[in-house]
Amino acid sequence: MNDAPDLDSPVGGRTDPDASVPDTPTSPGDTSATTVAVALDGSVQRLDPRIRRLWVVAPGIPLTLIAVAVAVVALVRDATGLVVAAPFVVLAVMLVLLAVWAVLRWRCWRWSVWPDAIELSYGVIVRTESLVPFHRIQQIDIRRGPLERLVGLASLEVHTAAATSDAWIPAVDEDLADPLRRALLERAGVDDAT
Amino acid sequence: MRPPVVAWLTAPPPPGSPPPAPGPSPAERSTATPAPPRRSSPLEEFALHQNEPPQPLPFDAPSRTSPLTALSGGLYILIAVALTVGTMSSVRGAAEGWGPADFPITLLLVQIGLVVRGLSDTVGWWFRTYRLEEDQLVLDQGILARRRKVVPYRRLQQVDISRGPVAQLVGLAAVRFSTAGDAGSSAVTLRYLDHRQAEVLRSWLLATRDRLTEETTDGGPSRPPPPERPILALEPARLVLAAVTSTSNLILVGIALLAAVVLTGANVLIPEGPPARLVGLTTSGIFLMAFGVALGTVTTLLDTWQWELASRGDDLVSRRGLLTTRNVSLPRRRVQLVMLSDNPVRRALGVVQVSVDSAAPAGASDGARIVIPLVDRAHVADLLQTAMGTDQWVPPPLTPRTAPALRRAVLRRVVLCALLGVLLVVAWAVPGTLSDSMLAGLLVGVLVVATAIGVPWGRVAHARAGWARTGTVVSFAAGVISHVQSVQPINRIQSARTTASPFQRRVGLATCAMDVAGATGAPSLYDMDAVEARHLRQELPRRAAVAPAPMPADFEPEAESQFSVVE
Repeated sequence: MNDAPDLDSPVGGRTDPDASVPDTPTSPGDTSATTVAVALDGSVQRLDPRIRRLWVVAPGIPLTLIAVAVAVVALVRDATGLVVAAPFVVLAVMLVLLAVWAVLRWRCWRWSVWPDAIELSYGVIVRTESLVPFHRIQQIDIRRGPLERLVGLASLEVHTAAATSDAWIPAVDEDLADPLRRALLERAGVDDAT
Repeated sequence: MRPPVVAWLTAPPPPGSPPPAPGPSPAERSTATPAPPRRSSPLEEFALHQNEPPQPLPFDAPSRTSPLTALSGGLYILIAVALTVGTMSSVRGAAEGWGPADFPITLLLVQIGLVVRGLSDTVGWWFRTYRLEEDQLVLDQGILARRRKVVPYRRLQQVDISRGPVAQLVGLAAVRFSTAGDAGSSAVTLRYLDHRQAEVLRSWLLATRDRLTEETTDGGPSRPPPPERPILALEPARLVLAAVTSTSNLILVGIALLAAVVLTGANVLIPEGPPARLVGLTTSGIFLMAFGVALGTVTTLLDTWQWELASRGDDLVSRRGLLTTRNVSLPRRRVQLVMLSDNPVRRALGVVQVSVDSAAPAGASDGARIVIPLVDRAHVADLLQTAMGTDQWVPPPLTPRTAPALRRAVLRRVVLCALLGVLLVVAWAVPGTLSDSMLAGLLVGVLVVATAIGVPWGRVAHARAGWARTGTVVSFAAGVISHVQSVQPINRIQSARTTASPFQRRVGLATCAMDVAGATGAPSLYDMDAVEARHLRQELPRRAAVAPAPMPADFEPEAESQFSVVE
């Protein structure tokens, strides 16, 4: 098979990293379904950009709570204003770092669909690239945590017979998740037993 | 508005490239749908070929396991009672009487545990039933929380019979069924059946599985269970050698030697004698290692006593054990991986350990593999050919890794030895027992020794590592202290992965891993050339659909064994 395309200049498919999926109405009168086109030639897809917010908010909430708790304790102990403000300064720094990390992670996360396989590439420091051929797919799970539901995202987990297979697409638009899953399963020739 | 529909856009192929290959049709991929099985009395078929089982197999009505199971529960209660009596008579004389305060609390906890276990075994026996249905085995168990476990015959992969020491005395056996390993299904265990019944049940289950999964059913009389053909039996001397030269023993002995060296060095270098606490710590550490070696050797020996390998039709059957006997069967068609492992001592002796793995359910400890404790390296090819029926499992010659991998291997080991040495020196120098100049000299000495050890170690590691790829299998090998070579059929690869740290990326290296069905760790090679790794990752899982199986399609299990039986 050919080598993976140069990931910075994808061939065909979506090139705009900030749009999730282009909507192509099937015909002017048909407003019942939009057809979403995903190229089968290994062109690179990115994660839905809303995941960046999630990657900041998810750890951010407990951090904020901790900062507030520390500040309250300091207040109770009649500390100076500077000491009370310190946790919030630390919190702000950490949120900035989280945001930077989230953007880096999003930029490094790529997935593409070939005619016979799904290929993933992720990791900021340690880069991992994995390939799952369609004929090995046993099932695909859709997972939507509470925060993901708020933001409107879903993640797909692709399972093979191996416990160590790690094909996982953490952020697709929630409306896209089920049709994409069904299309992948159909492509893989696996009966969708739901 | 209805949810969007996903449509596949196929870009026109670039000129000159071949058309994309069609995916395998669902019919080829799924297991063949069998014709409904003929059901003349299964028991009759087996009565023809086996000794009459002590109890008919439960085909229609649910049946309990052997009533002696309740006895084993009673045994626990008996031990608890004996403990009570023993404690009562030893703590104080009976004339003086004794009170609750005399009863040590730990003993009480142990007794409570024993009684609970005994009651659950005894009462649980009453509530445990199993029955054989048309196409599955159903086990109902549980006193308060009822659980039903179902084992479909078609997906049955392995049936293991194990007999603990008490079970051997009483004539019982535990049967464990495992199905083809999804990560999440656990093995189902049936405790305890009469051991003859366990054998009959297993033969029947495996034969039924074979009958349900074969593609054509002829109208002739049912086949008798295939005869068992011995492949290999290991003599006690070889088993002792295997137990003594295990890698864990090697590591423990190595640590003990290192501790002894450090101790003597400290005695020599420290003028007023080394601090007693550290001496005591090191000495007790050495004794602990020695104890670990002894314990490990004895345990391994008991575990592999009278090791035998045979084939029965398509299944490999292995028997071993003294106190707990295990009888493991593994279908050859389900073998996912063969691994050859050795350590420096075994390599010097020219022997190797071979393990044959099938898809392991998560949490299975020894369930899904047959381990051949020790074989001569020269006999491995013959053994694999006889046991697996084809020569394609024989480990192919390896391609070594590239020069940057050698440098990294050496560097890693030198750094590791240096860190360890510095740690040891600092630990012994901290109490202020060494002068500054001596400390500096020691640190320099540590660096020299680390280099002297690390460089040859790294070179040997590089020489023994590599990868290979034939038309049917892919093989990775790595390691020195524990050297493992994996042979994995390409058509069993589930998915593949390459990983690269920034240091690896800088020199054009990567780690390549091929996933195996089940919960077994994926065979992988560290520091492989990145281009080759990427090539393997992209090509092999795709070829898994079309690569020829290492098992020939017309595999004839009745072929004569060409391998000498006793080694």
